[in-house]
Amino acid sequence: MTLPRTAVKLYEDGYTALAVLVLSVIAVVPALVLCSIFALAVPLRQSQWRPWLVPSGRFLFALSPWAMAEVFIIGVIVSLVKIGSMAHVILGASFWSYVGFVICFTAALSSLDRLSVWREIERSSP
Amino acid sequence: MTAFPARSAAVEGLACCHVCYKLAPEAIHSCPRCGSALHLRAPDSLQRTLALLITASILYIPANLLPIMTTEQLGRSIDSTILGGVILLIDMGSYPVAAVIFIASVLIPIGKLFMMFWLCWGVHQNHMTSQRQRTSLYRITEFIGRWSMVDVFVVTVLVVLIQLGGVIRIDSGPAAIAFGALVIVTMLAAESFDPRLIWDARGDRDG
Repeated sequence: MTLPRTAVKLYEDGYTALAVLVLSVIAVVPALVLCSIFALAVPLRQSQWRPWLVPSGRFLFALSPWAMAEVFIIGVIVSLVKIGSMAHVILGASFWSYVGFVICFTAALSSLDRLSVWREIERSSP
Repeated sequence: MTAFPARSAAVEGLACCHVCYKLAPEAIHSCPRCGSALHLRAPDSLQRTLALLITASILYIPANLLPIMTTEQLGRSIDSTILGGVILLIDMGSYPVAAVIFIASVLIPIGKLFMMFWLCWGVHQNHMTSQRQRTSLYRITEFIGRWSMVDVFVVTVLVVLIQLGGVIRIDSGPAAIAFGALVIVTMLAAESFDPRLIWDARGDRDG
């Protein structure tokens, strides 16, 4: 089982909306959030102005509540316990890398201070 | 909401940007720093929040009554609802997991709905007491909402994981989509509620 497979299966079962929702909150939104953090943090660290700073800042703070990677991990753990009695499950490399991703991602998001990001953007603006 | 507390920024015509928190005169309509629209308070906050809350309450019914997943075992198919899943977990002896699911999919959604309704009612009635508790209550509702998604994720993982040919197979049920929508709608409701409205009720007393 892989992450995209979950969405494909839901889609095949006729739950298109659910497939889109799940794939968005566990994969697409975290990826977009991650990209916008990079787009903000790298230029701001060097106090450089980039034309995309303001739009990616707005994008990031609008999107970040919808990244639910950490909730998904709890969901995976719960389902592992649920089927632990009827089947033997071998965790693949993806599980551990997703756990690592969630830890780093959550840490990155919580150390990102909204006020100081915007203050930095303002300071670096020409 | 026309009466703002004395000495508040709103009285001076200053608005705090919803996106970047910059304080700017409301008269210029868009934030000088990030360009988003400026409002003294979130527009129609109470109406939007209430509309979303009512939607969420309606979604709560199918989310709990319809099966969230169907287990087909040796040709026998069993529908299980959210509560049914919790009871099954208790029978299996996995109390911690049962508690996680019960808290995330039963307590949090219903608690959040009640708390948000209570906050809206308090703002509507201009209650002047316990604003600090109300504000922290709002913070809690905003923070816990996302955790209700756990059950939707559990179902999505199970339907893919359990496909052992004809022996056992799990399909997602209609409650999963209702529940996912419920979580989204309550998150939107929390977002559209402006917690500053809680403090605006102080207006008459300080002024």
